[in-house]
Amino acid sequence: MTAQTPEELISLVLDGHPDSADIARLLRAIDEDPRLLRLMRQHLIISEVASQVVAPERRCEPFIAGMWQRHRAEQDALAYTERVMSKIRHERTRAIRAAKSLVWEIGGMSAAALLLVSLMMLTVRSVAERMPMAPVAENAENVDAERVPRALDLRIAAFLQRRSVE
Amino acid sequence: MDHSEDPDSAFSTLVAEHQAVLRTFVRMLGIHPMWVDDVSQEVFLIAYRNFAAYDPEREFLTWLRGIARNVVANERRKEGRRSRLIRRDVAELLARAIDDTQPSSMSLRETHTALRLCIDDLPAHSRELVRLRYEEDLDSDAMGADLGRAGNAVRQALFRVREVLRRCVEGRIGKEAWP
Repeated sequence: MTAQTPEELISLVLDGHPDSADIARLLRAIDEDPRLLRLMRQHLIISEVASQVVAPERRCEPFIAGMWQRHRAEQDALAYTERVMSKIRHERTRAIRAAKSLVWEIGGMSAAALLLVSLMMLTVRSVAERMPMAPVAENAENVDAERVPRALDLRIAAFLQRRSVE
Repeated sequence: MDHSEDPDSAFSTLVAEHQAVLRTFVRMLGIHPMWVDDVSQEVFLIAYRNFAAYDPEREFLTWLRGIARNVVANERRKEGRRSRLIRRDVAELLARAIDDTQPSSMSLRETHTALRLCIDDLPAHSRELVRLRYEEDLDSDAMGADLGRAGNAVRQALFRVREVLRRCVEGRIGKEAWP
């Protein structure tokens, strides 16, 4: 759309569909003659008041009713948001509590397991200390060269003694 | 505001008293006609929620106008399709003009009253144009299709009707009283 005069450009803004080139022309025209801005403002005022006078949906009562309806909708939205946030906060607290309780449970179980293992080790050690055990030769240097034949001698002697009795 | 009565109903009375002029002021700031009531309701609700901050020594409409300017300034900072302005560059120009001239609430009210009387006095064919444009909410091209005229011719006719009203207001309140 190509409008020629500044008045046509103002009309285009108020009653039509100006493109960017029309707006640029209007802004240039206003820049050259600032009275055009006042004229446009006066036409804007006239348009608005005319609309308020003739359009039933723009009368005072629907405006006020719409305002309170919007207020209630916004209050409901706020209350809803608060309810959701409260649930989210509750859920977070519950999750943190559950995580803490899990940590305590794992800690407790670990301590119990450790105690049990320690008791078992103590028991095994005390039983082991009471049991006679043959010397263990881990390597040749640790072997008591005299003790091994003596133990064998004792067993042979005991065997011979049992046979002689029989 | 009389605090002995229901505050919502007292506030409704205030809204009824000031809504027409406030909506005109919002339009003067460059808000698109489709969004004027939306923005104006937002302004009143901000005022309602912050009523404790209102200084009764000041004129209520002046306080509302301050809120409206902030709401529209925020609108100008918004990007893209969600904007409720005619055009951002035009809105900036209009807002600057208001800052420069500071139209009084009194002149806004006087203009409003005079305009309503002038619209009532319009001849039938001009009233019909006004009705089609503002009651039926048709743009100039749609009106042209209805009336069998070019959109450009309809825009010229509407411009002339508004000029008649503008001069009528000047005749009633004086040329300098226009906001």
